[in-house]
This record gives sequence, structure tokens and C-alpha cells, in this order.
Amino acid sequence: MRFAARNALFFVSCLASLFALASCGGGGGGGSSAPAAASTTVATTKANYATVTVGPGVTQQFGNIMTVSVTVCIPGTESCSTVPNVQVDTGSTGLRLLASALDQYANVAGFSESLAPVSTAGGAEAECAQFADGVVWGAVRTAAITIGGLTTTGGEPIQVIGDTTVGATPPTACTNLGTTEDTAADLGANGIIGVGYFLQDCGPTCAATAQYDYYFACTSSTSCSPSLAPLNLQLVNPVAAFAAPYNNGNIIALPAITAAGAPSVAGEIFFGINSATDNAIGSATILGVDPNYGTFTVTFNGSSTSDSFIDSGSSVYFFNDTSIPQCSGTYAGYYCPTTTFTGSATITGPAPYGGAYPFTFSVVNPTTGTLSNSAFAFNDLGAPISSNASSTVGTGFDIGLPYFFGHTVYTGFEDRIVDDVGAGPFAAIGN
Amino acid sequence: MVTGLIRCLAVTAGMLGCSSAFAMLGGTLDSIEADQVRLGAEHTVAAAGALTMHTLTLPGGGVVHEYLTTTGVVAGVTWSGAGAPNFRQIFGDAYFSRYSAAQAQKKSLSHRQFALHDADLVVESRGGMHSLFSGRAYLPAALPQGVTPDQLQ
Repeated sequence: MRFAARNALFFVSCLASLFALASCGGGGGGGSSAPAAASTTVATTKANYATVTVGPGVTQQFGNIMTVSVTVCIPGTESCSTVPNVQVDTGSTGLRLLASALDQYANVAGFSESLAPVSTAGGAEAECAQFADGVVWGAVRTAAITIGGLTTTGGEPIQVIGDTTVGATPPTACTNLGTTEDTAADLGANGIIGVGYFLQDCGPTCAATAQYDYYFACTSSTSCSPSLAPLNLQLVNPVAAFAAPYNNGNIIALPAITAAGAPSVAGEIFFGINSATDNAIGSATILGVDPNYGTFTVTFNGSSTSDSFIDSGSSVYFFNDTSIPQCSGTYAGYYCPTTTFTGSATITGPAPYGGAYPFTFSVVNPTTGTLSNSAFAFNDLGAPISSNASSTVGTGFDIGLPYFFGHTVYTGFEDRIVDDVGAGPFAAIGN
Repeated sequence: MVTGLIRCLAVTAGMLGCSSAFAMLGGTLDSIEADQVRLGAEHTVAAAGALTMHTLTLPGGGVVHEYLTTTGVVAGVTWSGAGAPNFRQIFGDAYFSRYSAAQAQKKSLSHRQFALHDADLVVESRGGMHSLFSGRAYLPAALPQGVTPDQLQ
């Protein structure tokens, strides 16, 4: 699949209809002609894709946040909420939505609270989702999830951020881990939809121990204690919860953009890999990833780091190159090369798929373009991981969203079989 | 708060009592021992060049290293494990508040990376669920002459 040859007319028509989530799909899908339906009624066409957008988003402040509209319903009913601007994150698993957004876009009053709470041993379940930039706290409730034309086969656990009934007050065991991200301004989106390699957001760790303070059991709005979470009570990968043959992985395809960036870019997320006419893996390079961590090796500047990964939820490339000046002031945290930096690196996947994928990437100075104009989509921003390159503390290359423009990125789910490939997890990258 | 207290009592019953003291970057050996108690950790000590490395192995398997200078100051901490460590405990209230405030204020570039580089406080954190958390925090002014941040492993 190639998506770079979009014409301007299509792009404009697509922008105009973003929130209706109709008529944007199919441009690169090789024959899919029916629009995806994401209204509050049941979709009549099984379109296995949805439009994703990198644009101003909900805050008009963050760059390079890829979003999609997600509809959640009380299972078996037409009580639903279609929440726009939910960040598509291949670096995590699970659907997390702000209670305020769920209620704002619902077709019934009090929608978020009407989703059934998930019960766990010791009380109603809540979660302290842990990210490096903060924690996301909220109740776990059950909802049917629709993205594009597909709906989960049943009710699935989702996280309701800022729930006012279950665990309304986050416990100190959670707030001791970082700032609490519980608004659209904090998240840069109305929520996060994690569609990474893994079927559950935590996995066996949380089924075996409550020591990491991920899942909690709440006996009141203010009293929640760390709790074990069996796999079936953890947040699930929504795409993996679709019916076969669309539940073995996903494909993200964004058109190429210029070095100057773009105000808004529309692309697609396809559900399933090598299971329908529009989700072929074709000649993409298949890359193994670590079955526990979703990582592979990237070799750059002569050093190889095995904890590297590709992640649509990272807005920039994170890597270490001490030859590139770092920004200060407003853009502190970014690289500020004096002229465009072009790097060459190679991904090497672990067994059983192995694979080698050489790639080049560019980094521009954000103070002289890109971020300082009206663009919200960039293919050329970078940031250092840490101040030194020799530390063993997490120096892996993070191939962020900039690389997704002009490429097709496949995420094969763990334990799911993809025809002509095998069982996930794996990554694949095509042009 | 209740949760933490119950855990703390359970871990330390019959041994050390439950210290309410918090450890901190810039704190002393006492603060490391407070961390050990508070986190229910196993504690070992080893030389690390000009520093002494106190290793706290957490009940869930995570590891925190706290680096003590010869003058008895915790100059840096590192961590790794399947979840984020109790940052308030290992940074201390004041530095944790700055870390948390910086997370809240900065435009986040990734859910899996965060860095704070102030003149007097550096925090580099990375990780995610179903992955590993790792990182380090240090007080540049507290590092002895000749000791680089790279030695905090």
C-alpha cells in the first residue's frame, strides 16, 4: 500500500469530514468503497479501517498526536458516546477515556457512570496506569468499543479517567509515582487508545503480583487498595477484541509530508493483517520484537541498543547523539541542529523473525520552522533520551511518530496468527 | 495513605517498626534505611568508585540504587523494574514535587520518556506498562569531583 500519492482534493474533503468519521477511509485501501460508520447506531458495513488524524487536536497545543474517534456503548444497547480526538498509541494497550469526554459526547445523560463497573476481589476495580510522563488514574468499566466499522464482540474493560464514583480520589500509592494526567490538557487528547503488541495492558505481571500498584480494588470513592488483576480483568487491546479475521494486528498508514510539516494530516488505521484485500503485508519488512517488552535492537552511530522500539505515541525521535546541539528555553528537550541533521540507523529484530531494516531520519531545528508555524504534523523532530550515551539506563532508540509519515507500520499481536508470517508479536514496516 | 501504612506495618512487623521518615536525594544514610523499611526492600551495599552504592531490591523484583558520597549525601538514585518506583519516597517530598510539577507543566513528547534537566536537579525517566521502567535522578552539585552521571548505573 502506498499512501503518498494523495491528491489535495481528497485531503481537503477528508479534513472537512473528520468528526463525522465518514468518507476519509478507502483512499488507500484498495477497493474499500463504503464509508466507515461511527454513529451511535450499529454500523451496517464492516469497514475494517478508521481515519486517523494528526492535527490541532483537542488542545491545539501539542504536535504529532495521532487521533481517532472511538465509540463506546453500553453493551447490547444504543446508549453510546462517540469520543473524538483519542490518541492512537502503538506503545501501550487499552482504551482510556476521560469521563468528562464520555459524558460530553454521549446520547444519554450520565453515560460514563452508567457503564457497569468491573468487580474484582475486594471491590470495584480501578487502575493506576503508569507512563513515564505521569500516571492515569480511573475506574475500570465495561463497554462495547467501535472503531471505524468494527465493534468488539462483547463488553470489554476500559478505563474511565476521572470517574467520580469508583476511586474518585486517587490513592497515594498511585500519586507517589508522578503527576496525575486527568484532563484533555494533560493528555493532549480525550483519551488514549492503546493498540500495541500485547493483548492486555499489564499482562502476567499484574496477574501475579499487586506490588507494582497498577490495579486496585475500591471499597468507596476514597478507599482503593492494590489488587491482583487476572488477565480477563485487565484492559484489553480493543483491536484484538474484534472478531476474526480483523483481530490479529493493525496497520497504520500516514501519507508523506514535507519537511515544513503540515497543519493536519489524515491517514488510516486498518484492522487485521493479511486477512482481507486491504490489509496485505505485501513486501513490508518483518521484524521480530521481544515477546515481553515489544522491543528490538537499533544500531546507530556504531552503538546497538536492544531496548529500542517504534511507538506512535512518541511525538519525536528519541535518540542520543552528542554532536547535535540541544534547544533551550521554550524548546528545551528538543534537539536544535544548526542545519538539518540526517541520521542512518538499522533495526534488527530478535528471533524468531529477526529481520533487518535500515532507515534514515531527519531532525530540524524547531525554533526556525515547524513548531513555530501553524503545523501540527512533523516528520523531522528529535530529542535526546538522556544526557549521556554510555549509561545502561534506557538508551534505546524510540522511533516515534515522525517515521510513520510516508510509511506503513504493522503491529502483529502476541499469540495471534498472521497468514504467511506466523504468531505475533512482530513489527513490520513498509513504504 | 491508609494503604501505605498497612503495608509498611505488615512488612516491618516485629523487625524495625514503621519509620515515618522519608528518604531523599540530598539526604543521608538514614534516609536510605528509611527507604529500605518503607519499600520493604532488601538492602545491600557495595563500593562504586568514589561513591557507595546502596542497592534496594523491592518485593516485586524492581531494583533501586542509591549513591552515597563519602560525606554521607545521597547524590543520585537509579531504578529499574516492571513498574515505576515510589518516586516520592526515593526523591523525597521536595524533589518529587518538582518532578511532578515539571511533568504537569511540560508539553509531553511521549508517554514513554520524560526528562527534567534543571541546574540543580536532573531526572531521566523511561518506561511503560508491559515493559520496563528505568531511569536516574541526581543532584549535579552533590556529585563529587570526578564523578560523572554515567557512573550512576
